[in-house]
Amino acid sequence: MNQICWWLADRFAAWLAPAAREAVLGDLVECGATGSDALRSVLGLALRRQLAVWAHPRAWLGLACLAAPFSVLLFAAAKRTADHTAPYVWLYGNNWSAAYVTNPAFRRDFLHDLALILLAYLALASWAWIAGFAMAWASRGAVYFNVALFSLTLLLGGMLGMPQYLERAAPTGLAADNDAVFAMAFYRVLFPLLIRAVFVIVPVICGVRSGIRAEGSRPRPRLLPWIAAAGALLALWRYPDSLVYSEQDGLWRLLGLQIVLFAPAIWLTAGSHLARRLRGVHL
Amino acid sequence: MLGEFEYLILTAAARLADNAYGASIREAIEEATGRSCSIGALYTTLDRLESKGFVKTRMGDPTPQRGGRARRMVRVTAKGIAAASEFYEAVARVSRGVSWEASRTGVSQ
Repeated sequence: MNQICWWLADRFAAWLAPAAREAVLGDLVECGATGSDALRSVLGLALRRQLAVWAHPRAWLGLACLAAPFSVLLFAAAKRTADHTAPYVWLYGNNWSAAYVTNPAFRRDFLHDLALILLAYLALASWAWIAGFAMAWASRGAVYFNVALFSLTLLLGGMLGMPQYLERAAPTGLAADNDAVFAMAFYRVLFPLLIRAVFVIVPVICGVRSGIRAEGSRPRPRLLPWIAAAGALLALWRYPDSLVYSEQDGLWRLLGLQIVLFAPAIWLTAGSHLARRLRGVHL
Repeated sequence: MLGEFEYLILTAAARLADNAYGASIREAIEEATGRSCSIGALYTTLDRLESKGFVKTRMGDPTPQRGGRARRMVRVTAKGIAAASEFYEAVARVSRGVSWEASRTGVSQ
């Protein structure tokens, strides 16, 4: 039991900054603390640190202006993307035959549909990445809480009835057109969950990691993450269908929109890597 | 104005001088007050004192008795000494003439 508590204390100490983790665990070893004492001390310190973070307005800004709106809007975007792409995935995945590949018309349609599906997922992942980056940028201390809340909303939003509210606010009208697809539990329940997990939560976590690394290297301009986040929020709110290709809009419009929105993310990542490299040379 | 616990940490760190770090400060406070001092409270208060400029901390060398982990060494700054002195004088002034202060110094009531 003692060893389990020490192991847990060591795991939970990962919530602390590296220097604090080193000092606190060292103090506990030196004092001859028991596993339960160590676990209580580490949890107590982590909780105090987390509470102290919320005394700063940046933490509340990150929660109110980034985590909350992004979780709702990305949930809606992921739902739309899943609803629009599920018929294509069903069409090719459930009805695939190698014989089709010999048909030039099929190959052309398949590549076209594949491109639009991949672009839609890329756009979703790009916006989620920007959300994660901006959350880490807003408040590093509060980012773990914000990401946990964000992920819970994404994963459990369906249980809380969020799709029904979203459907009323912005009906997609797709379910009726594709009843055969959505009659299957996989496409109705599991597929949207997979889209949210793979193309929203994973990119958000990657964005958070990049945001934390970039914070130390101080890329310029400082307002860029906020501008990128505001642009992504506005696009998600004002143009919810921009993720989804339509014959009228064309692939180029979607690709162009993604490049414009993802440019700040590329700039920030490249800037932070360059700054770290230069700092390494000076050292 | 310092808080009571902040004053205890500053005084213990000043007394321990070059040997002031988390575990030793905690031990000194527990010995002096007879109360337990949680690591969480100690490090949170140390962070606050550092942000106010009353102490400076640095990571020391790792030692075997700490499982190869480094100490967070604490040094009281001139600003910290001034703040602790001010707190002590305020406590001394406000305590002057009260029964427990008089009995400690042997003055009859």
